Amino acid sequence: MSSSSPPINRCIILTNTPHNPQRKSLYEKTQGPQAVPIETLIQHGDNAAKLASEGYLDFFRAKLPHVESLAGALFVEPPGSASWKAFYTAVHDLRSSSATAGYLALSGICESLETLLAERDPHDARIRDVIRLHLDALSLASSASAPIADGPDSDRLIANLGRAVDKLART
Amino acid sequence: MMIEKADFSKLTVLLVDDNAFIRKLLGDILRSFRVGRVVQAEGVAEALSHLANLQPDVIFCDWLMAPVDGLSLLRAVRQGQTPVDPKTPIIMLTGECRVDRVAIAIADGADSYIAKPVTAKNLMSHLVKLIAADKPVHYLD
Repeated sequence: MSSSSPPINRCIILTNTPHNPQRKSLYEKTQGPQAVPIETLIQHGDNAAKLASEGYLDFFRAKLPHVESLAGALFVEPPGSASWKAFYTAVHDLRSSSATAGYLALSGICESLETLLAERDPHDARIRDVIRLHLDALSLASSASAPIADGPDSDRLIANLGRAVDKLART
Repeated sequence: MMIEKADFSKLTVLLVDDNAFIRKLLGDILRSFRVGRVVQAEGVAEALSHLANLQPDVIFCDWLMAPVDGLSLLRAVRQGQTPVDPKTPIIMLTGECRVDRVAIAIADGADSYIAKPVTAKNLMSHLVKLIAADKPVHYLD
């Protein structure tokens, strides 16, 4: 460098995101002598998730009457109204929480019902019966006396529900 | 850069989801990761009231919630309509995994996007991704 070059006062060496002075970066906050291997933390997380999921069926059974009541309101209001959106949101919610808790039969039935609500013509006269069919399946699959375990039986049930949805007119 | 170890004890995480089971499960996983403080909200209104007094390090926010969806919270933070740093990392949670939905969340400023079902492994991988991205600028004086 020649002596006439302007001095370089500061040189940015890590710049993939601008540092915000209002808070310490996550990197600064999470690295230090107490840091634990990521794999160990994931194992702790898996154990915590298993424990939390043990109570899922009780949670699901407590939620189902609310979903049933939302379904009851569906045919009072026109398709696209608040009650249809509320029912869709509730079914979507149960689908994702069932999948997260590892209840694949419940998640699969909810997914079939979600498909019906999103892709089938709500004016089809048969839609009420097919919705009822899904709610009965959810009730059966989550019943305390004889829950349908994930496996061939639940796969058959979900496939049959899917066939019923396929019979309905598309939107 | 690989993040192989972490100490989350200094982190505050805000968890927004209208599903009580998901809140409990994610809260338990985050606590098992030794996150220092996990604050939960069952909707956008409650989240906004927390943000009046809290600067979280990370926000996990469900997308599909009623009556106000999670995208509204994301936009409020990014547009500086809350007292918190508009660049606060936000991870959206949702059962919707269509590409167009992901694109909306990213375009609105989400740092990351987790399609449910959520597991400890994918929660951690998104946290690690955030840590690697949120590095400070170092200056040579």
